Amino acid sequence: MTPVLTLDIRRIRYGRNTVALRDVALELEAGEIVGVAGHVGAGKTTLALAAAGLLGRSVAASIDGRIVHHGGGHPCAGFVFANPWTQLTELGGTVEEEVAVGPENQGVPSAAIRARVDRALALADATHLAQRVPRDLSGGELQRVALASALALDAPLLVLDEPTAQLDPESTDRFAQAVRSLAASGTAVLIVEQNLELLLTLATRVLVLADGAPLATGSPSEVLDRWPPLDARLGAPASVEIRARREMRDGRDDAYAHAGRCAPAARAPLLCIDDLCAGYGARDVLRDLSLTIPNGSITAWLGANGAGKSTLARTIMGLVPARRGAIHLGDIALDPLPVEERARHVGLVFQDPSRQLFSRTVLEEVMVAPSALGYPARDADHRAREALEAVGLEHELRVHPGDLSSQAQRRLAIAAAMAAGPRLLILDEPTAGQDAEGRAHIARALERQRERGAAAVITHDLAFAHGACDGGVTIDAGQVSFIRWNTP
Amino acid sequence: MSDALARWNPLTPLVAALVLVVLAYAGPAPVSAPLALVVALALAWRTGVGARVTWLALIVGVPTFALLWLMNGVIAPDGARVGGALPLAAAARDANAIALPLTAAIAALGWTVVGIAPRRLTRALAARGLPAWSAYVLVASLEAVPEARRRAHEVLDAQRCRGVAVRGGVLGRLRSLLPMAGPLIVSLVTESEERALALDARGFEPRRHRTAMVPIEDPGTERAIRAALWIVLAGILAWRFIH
Amino acid sequence: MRTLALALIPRAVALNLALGAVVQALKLPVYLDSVGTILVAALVGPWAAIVTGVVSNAVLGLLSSPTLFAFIPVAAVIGGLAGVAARLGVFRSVAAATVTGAVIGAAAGLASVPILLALFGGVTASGTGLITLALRAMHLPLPVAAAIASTSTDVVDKALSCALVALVIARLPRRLTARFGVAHPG
Repeated sequence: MTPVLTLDIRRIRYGRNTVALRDVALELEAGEIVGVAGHVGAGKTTLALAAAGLLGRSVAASIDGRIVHHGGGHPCAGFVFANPWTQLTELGGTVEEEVAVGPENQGVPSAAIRARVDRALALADATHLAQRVPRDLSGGELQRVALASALALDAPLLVLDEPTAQLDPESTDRFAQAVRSLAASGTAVLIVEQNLELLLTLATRVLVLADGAPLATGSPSEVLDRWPPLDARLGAPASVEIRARREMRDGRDDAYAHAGRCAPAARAPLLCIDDLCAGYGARDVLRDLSLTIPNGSITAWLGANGAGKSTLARTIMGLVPARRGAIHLGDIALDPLPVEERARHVGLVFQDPSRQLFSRTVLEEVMVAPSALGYPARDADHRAREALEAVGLEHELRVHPGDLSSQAQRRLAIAAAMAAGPRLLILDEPTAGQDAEGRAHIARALERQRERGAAAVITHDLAFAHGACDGGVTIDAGQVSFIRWNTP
Repeated sequence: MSDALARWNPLTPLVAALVLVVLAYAGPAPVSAPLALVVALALAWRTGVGARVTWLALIVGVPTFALLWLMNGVIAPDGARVGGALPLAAAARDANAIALPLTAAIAALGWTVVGIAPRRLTRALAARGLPAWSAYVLVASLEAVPEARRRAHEVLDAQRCRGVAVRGGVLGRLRSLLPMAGPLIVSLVTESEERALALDARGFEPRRHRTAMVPIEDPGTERAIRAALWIVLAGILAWRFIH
Repeated sequence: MRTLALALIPRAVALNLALGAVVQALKLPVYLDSVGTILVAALVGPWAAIVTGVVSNAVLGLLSSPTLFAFIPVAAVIGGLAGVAARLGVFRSVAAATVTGAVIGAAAGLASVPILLALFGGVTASGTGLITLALRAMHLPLPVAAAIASTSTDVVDKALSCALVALVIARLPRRLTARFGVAHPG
């Protein structure tokens, strides 16, 4: 076996005193896939950056220990990270040009670049995207382009830092397939993942980190056997998640039946939508959509990308004008109200919290909505604290929002919407990138919202929908195709 | 972008446009500017971008002429410059002296702007020694603009959902500026960290020469044409220096 | 140039061009088309800010009209002055930034006068051009009219832009400003 990477880290620090990672010894061989699991802040990304040789170069850190890339080369590893939209260099106008950027930087001759690009695109299952413009691609497609771009460097090591965090299940499967065939062709892979099912099925060896140090290591089956003690530490409901995903994929729609919550059909309706048509430009996205959401319910809005879930939320909020139809919330007709007025009644949290965070402290951030809606300062403060408690951020009041992890930022955005006291709260993909603890916080916040009205969760995360919601509304081609309430 | 121009090395039309600009401003007085304009428009129409270039030239040239004529002939006729002729005709002549070379320059530069893909131009310039960092800044900026515009609208949406108002008095709207512009600025600064990491991960060095997957061809005939164009340019400047 | 500063510049250029959407939504009578340049001045320094200004005008020239190429020197003046001001620490206080912005605006307005006179005969088809016409009708000499018209709009615009940058820098996470080597206020 050929060793590709030898890591012997005693300590890695950012700044003066934060130790991000300690006592990790790891050797990677060609064709091997090593998976790294752990809670948020366990040191996974630090390990990934160190393995890729980017620590101390792009990211300021002091490293006590040894990192040896046996293959050498510059750069010494390909690197793919979580956000599909910000990891391209922008130097390429088309996908194949973007993939060529690495070898062009390395000074590879033209003909050799072409060969490398074609091979990398093929391995990453992205050949058909070669002539497309990167910014027009979906997250799943972009992530495969990022993989191809990393592969084109022709490094013997590939480091993946939560590469599927922002992908839907189908894109995740395709990505995983590409990684498998890559390892089969001899590349060593280090993958950091929040998605345990993926990690355990993909990796040949697993390293579990906790609080910046190794907790367990071994083959997936060994780690699974020892899962109960690990589970207590990580709080990850791997088995439930895996079962729910399998059942959903196999078309058994009774996956929801396990949840054991009562169908709230008997309750009074809160949101009533009748024959709603809406869209962008000449394109209709919602086509005569009708939907009733009962008071006191938590629903998951499911469906493929582009089915109209987000457009429905935006139309309810008034960001997309309704061409036809009516939207009522209790006895309030929302249609004539401008967005700023609807904000009193409906809260909408977008996928990306960075689109709204700008305050100096967490508390200040959550007070924006109640202040803008005209609540007196004390009232606004009270509402903000209550909302922060609901998402488990009550101890971070004075922290800068930008210093929170991206998971905590999402919860902050949820609190910021809840503080306005809306009767209906709609969350767009709230669990993406959340670990077990984060998901538990969000589920608790949803329960809190249930007391005030109702909540809806737009999601691809079937395990979460299964565990935290009363039922699912499936939206297909701009219409509600299927509603299922969990049976007791 | 022009398919006809895509067959050329982008530097050749760029140098041609430069010659036309110099001709319009520094060539012999009555004929040079109209000549430059005619040649620029002819080149544009020949290469399939005539309509856009004519439009670009007109929307600058016509208002400039009209405003100058209005100012010098009607609003504030300057006695000293009339010199016996009718003020309006003299004003038209003065206005023309400014507007015509301007229109010619816009047509010439507009031809390259509309006809050449900026990416090809930067790659051609990079092959001639433009440092990697400046090529990156130009190309990445063009790429970042539509994304930032889209994000600006997303921020507006997200903040309106929180009740931040876009209507009301000037002071109220001014107060909304920070919540509306702030997240856009903060997110762009944060993003630059990830983009820098992406560049590093791909081995980008700001000052190192990069190779190209598809090099831009620069055949001998084109190099000869450019040499001739530089000689013409030097000739015009020499003529201007003598007169 | 470090990669981080390099990667910021395209974002700042895009910001110069994208804030128009915000200004439009809020119906404010300003441009805010140099906020990105001033931001780079405050976070990185004068040279990077000059590059940002120059590239912004070049990109705007490519996307809308070559006329804007003519004002590249003005954008460079804004970037250079804002960068020097940042070295003096003016962006640590909103008040100091606002005053500096007014000065930068005046300088930018004056810098555009020779360009306006030489290439456009003193007027362009814009709000500023109409002010110039009005001042000419009051028999002010053309260079004076052009200078007053262009400085008056620029003073307000750059003052607001600099104030906005100071406010935003105070709100950036310390971890990030530290990476740009900016001492954090307060």
